[in-house]
Amino acid sequence: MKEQKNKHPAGSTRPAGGRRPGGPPEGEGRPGVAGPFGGKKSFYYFWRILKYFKPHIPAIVVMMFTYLGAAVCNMLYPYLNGTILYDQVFSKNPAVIKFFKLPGGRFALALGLVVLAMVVTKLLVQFLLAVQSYINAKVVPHVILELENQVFRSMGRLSMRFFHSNRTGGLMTRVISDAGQVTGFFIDFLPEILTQVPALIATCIIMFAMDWQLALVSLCLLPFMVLIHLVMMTRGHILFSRRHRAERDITAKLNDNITGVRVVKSFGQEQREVAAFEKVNNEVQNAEVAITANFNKVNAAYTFLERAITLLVWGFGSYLVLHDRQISYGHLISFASYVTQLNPLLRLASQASRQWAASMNSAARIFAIIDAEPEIVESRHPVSMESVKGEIRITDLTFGYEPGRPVLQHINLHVEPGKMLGIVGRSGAGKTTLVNLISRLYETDQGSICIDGVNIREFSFTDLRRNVAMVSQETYIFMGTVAENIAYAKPGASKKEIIRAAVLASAHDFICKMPDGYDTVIGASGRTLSGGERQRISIARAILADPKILILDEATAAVDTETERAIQKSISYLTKNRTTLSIAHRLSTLRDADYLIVIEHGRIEEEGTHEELLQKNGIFAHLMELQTTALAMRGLE
Amino acid sequence: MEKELEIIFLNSKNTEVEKTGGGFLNIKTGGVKYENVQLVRTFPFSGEDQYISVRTADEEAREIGMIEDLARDFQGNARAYMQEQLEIRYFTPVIKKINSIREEGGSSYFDVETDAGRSRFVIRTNENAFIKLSETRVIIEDLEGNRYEIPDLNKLTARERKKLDIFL
Repeated sequence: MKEQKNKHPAGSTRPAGGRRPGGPPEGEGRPGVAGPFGGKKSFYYFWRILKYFKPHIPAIVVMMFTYLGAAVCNMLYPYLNGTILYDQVFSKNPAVIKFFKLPGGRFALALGLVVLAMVVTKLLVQFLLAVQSYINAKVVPHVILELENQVFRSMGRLSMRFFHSNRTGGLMTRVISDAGQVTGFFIDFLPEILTQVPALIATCIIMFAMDWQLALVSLCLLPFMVLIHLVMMTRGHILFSRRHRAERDITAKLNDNITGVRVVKSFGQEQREVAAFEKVNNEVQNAEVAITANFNKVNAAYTFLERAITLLVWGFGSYLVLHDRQISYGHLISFASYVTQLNPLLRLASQASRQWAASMNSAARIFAIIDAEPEIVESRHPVSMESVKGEIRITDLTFGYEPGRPVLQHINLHVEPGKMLGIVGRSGAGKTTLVNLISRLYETDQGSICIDGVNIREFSFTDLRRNVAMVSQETYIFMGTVAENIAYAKPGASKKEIIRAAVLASAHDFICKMPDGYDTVIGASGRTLSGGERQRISIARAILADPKILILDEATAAVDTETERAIQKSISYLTKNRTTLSIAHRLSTLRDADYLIVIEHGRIEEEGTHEELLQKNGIFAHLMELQTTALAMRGLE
Repeated sequence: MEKELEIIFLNSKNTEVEKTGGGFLNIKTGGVKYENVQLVRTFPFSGEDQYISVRTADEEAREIGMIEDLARDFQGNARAYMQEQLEIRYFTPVIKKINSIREEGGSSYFDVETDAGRSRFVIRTNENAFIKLSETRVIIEDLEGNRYEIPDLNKLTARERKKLDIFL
């Protein structure tokens, strides 16, 4: 099958057989994923992220003009401040009066005009900076939103195996913080770099034009700056990866503690958890301190070199002014101002490279998700079957989560439409794996699963999900109202349909006893439900979905025997006229099954009707005997 | 289908409604008379007068039937009696103004003006006493289970919004 060629995606526990085409390696930001300037990978991410800014090109163009304007103003200021003010106005050069077309001798007026021009230049710079901030505030949130949405969309596309092989904390960090981190370089630095590079070149040209000897002196330490930069940035990238791992751990720890608060409290482990949290929190702090220390070293080195350059320029410039009289004092002031302007530009390069390291580090993780190929993909020409009869045929099915370790081997099975198949076996025998394969949550390694004679690989995802529904012991309540939770698989369901499903699931009465009935908010931030209540809501969800094939995976295992008996009535209704695959440890709940299979070590060891299996006196009969004895001792049977 | 898994819909054709001297409701349906019945809104926020569950007065609160649409299925006195019962049961003053909110020892003391007069109530600061029905509509449930509604947060003054921010 075509799909089998792509069944070991990166991000899964299986060998990916190489990188995704065009995508980054799965590395969780480990050193080596992207170097300091990351080599090709970082530039590859850079170009990809640029595409997210495409819809904002007009705003970015305006922004670049503001940077350009600010750069021109900044270059103009030293000229006004030095050459014009000192050399022309203060020295009362008549050419100035002529230039301003002022009446003879009006140097005070010329002075006023120059000062005004200097003030206007500074004000213009502030105005342009304000425009930059405004555009920033408009563009950045949109790009972050789009990146976050795309990561989340990509996660939804990925198969179960991806979620089993990636830590929750890491995935949450990728959605919550990496998207914001990625845009940092592009908004805070890129436009400035693009406009400041010409400014840097222009400043150098002006400096060489003014005095080539002074210009050479002021640039003589530049190679040292580049060297410092390259050495420290490599370390910077490694430190950003370390910080990401620490943040991932802290998110995972918080998630564990909030969702598992009952276990923590019941075992009195609050102090231990606090200590564990402090440990991971300290690691975040240490990583942050290490990043800051690293960049402080860069800054210290830069500052030293800047001061050294300034001293050299003033020293050599003063020599020229005093001894050779080659240049004027005003000329030196102007030159020194250009040197001072050069420093922030070089410092910008230092800060930009820090942000570059952080952004590309986050980009590597984000694109690892966006590029990950789902293990299970829809057929190119899917078969559309809106409604099926519910016949299931499994032929020579073999499957394992890891290569060479099959969980199911050579399974052959046929379930007629509308019949109920009971699946029995010890824990870890492969029962849940079998039903997960029928739902196509995983892909088979060998053999086929057909519904109404069509291989499930040929089904469209929509039709497969519409026709196959599962009620498992892991009931999940989403944040929302009771009605929304019941209608999860049928969002447009009417109130009447929702109530009917709840009545059939024996959930209506407890829902009506809630103060807000079906409008009660449940889930993460809402009212807490008991295990039985959650299970009934999940049954109501399945009733409303109205699938032709129903999978009950230990549907009543998480509730007590009394609740189980109450729910059983609803389950009996639910299974009527539906092909049902029911997994149950409590074998008594499988009495209504038309046919039973016993799975042992991934193989079907016994099959037949309830009576036939009892007569065989094999595994099933043995399990039945054990349970009957155990229940009799508890006075339940 | 088993009888208990069926929904019985009540309307003026199959149900008689009477108000008792004490202000309660008795109904007669399917040849059986039920005294002091309870009316429960199954969708109190998204459909106040739709799918009202009529239940027995005893502890079991068994469902007698449902009223699919009160305005459509009952008329005259019967509808008025039931409306009255629902208004009493779901009495929720609307907050018009927040005078003050004082936090002390994990509890927050509210002093508000409502459409039913001035009211003071207490909620636990860190518990979910606020039910957000939409981005702007909020229900506050106090420690005694009394409810207060803010139909539109945007209509509060900036100062009042600031006081509420910690709970939202």
